[in-house]
Amino acid sequence: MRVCVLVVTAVVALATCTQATTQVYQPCAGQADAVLLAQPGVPSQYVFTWSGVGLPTFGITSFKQPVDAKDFSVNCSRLAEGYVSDVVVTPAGVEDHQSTTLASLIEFSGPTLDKGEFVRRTILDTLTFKPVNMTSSSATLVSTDNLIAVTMEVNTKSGISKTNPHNFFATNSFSVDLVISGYTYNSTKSRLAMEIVTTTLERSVVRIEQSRDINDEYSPSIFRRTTLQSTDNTGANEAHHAWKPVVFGNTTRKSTNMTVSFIGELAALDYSPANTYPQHIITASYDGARTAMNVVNVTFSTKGDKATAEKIIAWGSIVGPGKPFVPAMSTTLLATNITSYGVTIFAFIAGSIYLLVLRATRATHSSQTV
Amino acid sequence: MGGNSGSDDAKKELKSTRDDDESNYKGCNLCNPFHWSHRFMFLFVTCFLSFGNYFVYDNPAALQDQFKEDLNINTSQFMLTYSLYSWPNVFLCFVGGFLMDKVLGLRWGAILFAALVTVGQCVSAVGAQTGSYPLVLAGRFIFGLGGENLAVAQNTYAVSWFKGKELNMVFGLQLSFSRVGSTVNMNIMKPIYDAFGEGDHALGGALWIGGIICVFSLLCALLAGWLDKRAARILKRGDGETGEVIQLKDILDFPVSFWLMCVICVAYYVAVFPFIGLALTFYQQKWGLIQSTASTINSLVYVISAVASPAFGYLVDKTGRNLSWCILGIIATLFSHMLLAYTFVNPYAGVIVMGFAYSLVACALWPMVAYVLPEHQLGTAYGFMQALQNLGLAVISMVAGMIVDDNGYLWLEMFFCAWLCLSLLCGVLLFFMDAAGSGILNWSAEERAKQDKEEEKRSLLTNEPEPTQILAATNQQIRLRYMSRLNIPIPKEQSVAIRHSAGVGVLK
Repeated sequence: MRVCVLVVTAVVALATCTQATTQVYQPCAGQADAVLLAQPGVPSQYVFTWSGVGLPTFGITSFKQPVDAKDFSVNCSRLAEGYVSDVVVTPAGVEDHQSTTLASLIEFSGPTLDKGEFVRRTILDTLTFKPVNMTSSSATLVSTDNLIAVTMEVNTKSGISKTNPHNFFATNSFSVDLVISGYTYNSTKSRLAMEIVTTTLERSVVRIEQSRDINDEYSPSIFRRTTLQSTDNTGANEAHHAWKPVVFGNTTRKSTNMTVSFIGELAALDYSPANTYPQHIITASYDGARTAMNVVNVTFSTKGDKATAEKIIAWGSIVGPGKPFVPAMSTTLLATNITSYGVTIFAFIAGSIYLLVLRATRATHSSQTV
Repeated sequence: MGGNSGSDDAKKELKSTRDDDESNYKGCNLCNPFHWSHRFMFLFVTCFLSFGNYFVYDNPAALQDQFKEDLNINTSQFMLTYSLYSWPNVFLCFVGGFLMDKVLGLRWGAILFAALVTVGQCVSAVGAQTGSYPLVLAGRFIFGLGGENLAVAQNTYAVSWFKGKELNMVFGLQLSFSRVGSTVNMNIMKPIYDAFGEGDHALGGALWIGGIICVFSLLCALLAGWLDKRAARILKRGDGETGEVIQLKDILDFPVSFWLMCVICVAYYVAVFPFIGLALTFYQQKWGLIQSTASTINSLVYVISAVASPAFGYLVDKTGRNLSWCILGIIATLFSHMLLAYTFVNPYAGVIVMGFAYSLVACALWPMVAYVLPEHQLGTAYGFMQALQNLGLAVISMVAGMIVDDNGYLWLEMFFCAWLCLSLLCGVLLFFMDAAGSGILNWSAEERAKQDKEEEKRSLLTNEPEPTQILAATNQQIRLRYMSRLNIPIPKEQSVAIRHSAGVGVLK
C-alpha cells in the first residue's frame, strides 16, 4: 500500500530572515554533522544530528546572540559517551538553548481502524538523512531515498508556543513537520504513528543509556531498553524517557502489552482535531525541574491525501521522573520457578535418602542372614 | 544340536549357490550387487533419501521472521507449521511399518513417502508464493505424512543391504547426512531468501529451493527402489521388511518403568525441538545478533549431534548405565536452558551444552525400552512411545507459540525448564525404582554381558531353538531399527546375531 503524503503541522513564528549562510561542518569525524546558519542580527541556529551515540537524534542549538562558528566547539568525547547535551561548547557568556529530538515511526495494522495490532517501530536513522533546505528558521533533513523528511523549526519568540509540542520551561519551542512521501509497507489498512521526544536542557545533562534485562514478560521479545536520562548538575536523576525497540513483525502486540508505566502521572490527552493534521499530545511537567521531556505521538492513517484521526495511541515508551521503572518478575513466574526447581531438588534429596536407607537395610539384612 | 547341523548344511548349500551366481555375473563391479562397491553406491543413494526431509523440516525455523512478516501471522500461528508435521505421526507410527510390509512393500513405500514429502513442500511453496497461510499449513501436513516413515524405509534398506559392523557405519552415515541437511537449511535459507528480494515471492522462492531438494530425494528413492529390485533378482533374495509387529493389547502389560520412560521422552523432547523452532528470534533480540549468526547458533544442536551421537553411542555401549547417562543428559539440558534464560552469557555456551546433552539422552534413553520389555512387544512399545512423542510435540509447539506472543521468551524458557524438571523427576523416580528392583536399567556393560552369557547358557541347556531359526531375524531387525535411529553402535553380541539375520536376508 502506498502512503500518500502526510504532513504534521507546526506553526511557529518566523524570525526575520535577511540573508542566510549555510555551512556544513563536521566537528567529529563520522559522528556528527552540523549545519550552521549565520544570520546577522538574529540568534544563530545550528542543527546537529548525532550518529555516534547508538541512537539517532536531531538536535537544535540556538544562541541568544550571534556567534561565529569559530567561537564554539563540539565536545566529541562527550558525544561518544552518549551525551546529547552539553556537546556544543559555547563561548563564555553566551546563553544557549539546546534541544534534542528523537523520532520513530510506529506501524500498526488490523482489520478495522478501531483495533490496531502493533507491527513495528522504525527509528528514523540519521545516517540515512542529509540536511537540505536550510533557512534561518528551519532545517529539513531528508532521507537519502527521499521518502521521509523531517523539518524542524525554531520558535524564537519568547513564551510558550500555541501549538504542540509544548515546552514549559524554555523560551523557545520546537515544532516538527513530518513529510512522508511514498513510504511503502506491507500491511493492509495500516496506520502510522510518529513519536517525537523533545527535551529542553537548561543546566541539565542528558545522556542516552542502553541496558538489557532478562525479563521480557511485559514486553515480549524485547530485552534491550534505551533511556534518555536527564540529570542535574549534582547528578540527581530528573526525568527519563525510556523505550524498548520492537522486533519487526515478531509479535502481535496489544497496546496494553507495551512497556507502560507511570501512566497515571501523564497529563490527559490533549486532542486537537481542528486542523487537517490531528495531533495527540502527551506531556509531562515536573515542578521545579529544569528539564522538560515531551513525548508527542501523532497517529494518522492513509485515506487518500488526508490524515485522519485515530483512536489508538501508540504507547511505545514511558516518560517520567527519576529513573525508569523496571518491572520485576511476576508472582506467577517466580512461583513457577520455585516450584519446578524446588520439587526437583526435593526429589533428589528425598530419593537419595531413600536409597541410602534401602541399601543400609539390605546390608543389615544380609549380615543378619549370614 | 541336530537342528544346528541342519542349519549349517543349509547355509553351506546357500553359500555355494551364491558363489556360483557371483562367478557367473558379468558386469562392472559398480553394477555388481555381489561387490562391496555396489553396496556402497546404494548407501550413497539411500543417504540422500531423507536429506530433503530433514532440510525442509526446519525451513520455518530458519526463516521465522520472514514467515511471520510475509504471511502476516503471529508466533502461535507460526508454530502450527511444526505442530501439523507431528499430528499425522501420532497415528502413522503404528501403521507405517504395516503399510510398508503388507500393503506397499519397501520400495513403493519409500517412493510414496518421498513423494509425499516432495508434494507437501511444493504445496507449502505455492502457499508462501501466494501469501496463503492455510495452504502452507496444508503442505506441512502432507509433508508430515511422509517424513517419519521415510526414515523407517531408509533404515529398513540399511538393514537389508548391510550387515555386522558395517551397520554401525551405515547408520552413522545416514544420521550424519540427515543432520547435515538440517544444518545446511539453517545456514543457507536466509541468504537464498535475500537473493529473491523481499515479500511473498521471496519466501515462496526459498521454499521452492527446498522443494527441488526434495525432488532430488525422490529421485534417490526411485533409484534405490530400482537398485533394490535388481539386487533382489540377481542375488535371489526376498524383499526387506521393517519387521514391525504392533499388538495394541500388549500395552496393558507394559510395566510402570516403560510409562516413566514415555514421560521422560515426551517431557524431554518438547523442550528441545520447539525451542529450536523459536530460538532464532530469541538469539537476535536478546543478544543483538544478526540473523546469520543466530542461524549458525541454532544449527549447532544438529551439527553437534551428527558427531556426538556415534561417540556417545559408543560410550554408552561400552560403559552401560543407560539410566545414569540419561539423567545426566537431562540435567545438562536443563542447565543449558537456565543459562540461556537467566544470563547473558554467550549463547554458544548454552547451545553447545544442549547439543551434547541431546545426543547423550538419545543414545541412552531409547535402548532402555528393550531392557524392560520382551522382544515381541518392542514394536508396539516403540511405536507407542513415538506416537506419544509426536503428540507432545504437536501440542506443545502450539502452546510455545502462544507463550511467546503473550508473555515473551523468559516465560517460554521457564515453560521448557518446567518440562525438563518433570523429565528429571521421572528419571529420578525410575532410578530409585530400578535400584529397588533388579537394577537392569543401570547395569554396567560387564554386568550386561555376564547376564547375556548366562541367558545363552540357559537357552542351550533347555534346548531352545537358536534365534536365527525362528523369528529372531525379524526381532533383531526390530531392535536394530530403533537403535539405528539414534546411531547407537550395535553391541558385539548383537552384531553376531545380525550377521545371521542379515545373511538370511541376503542369501535367501
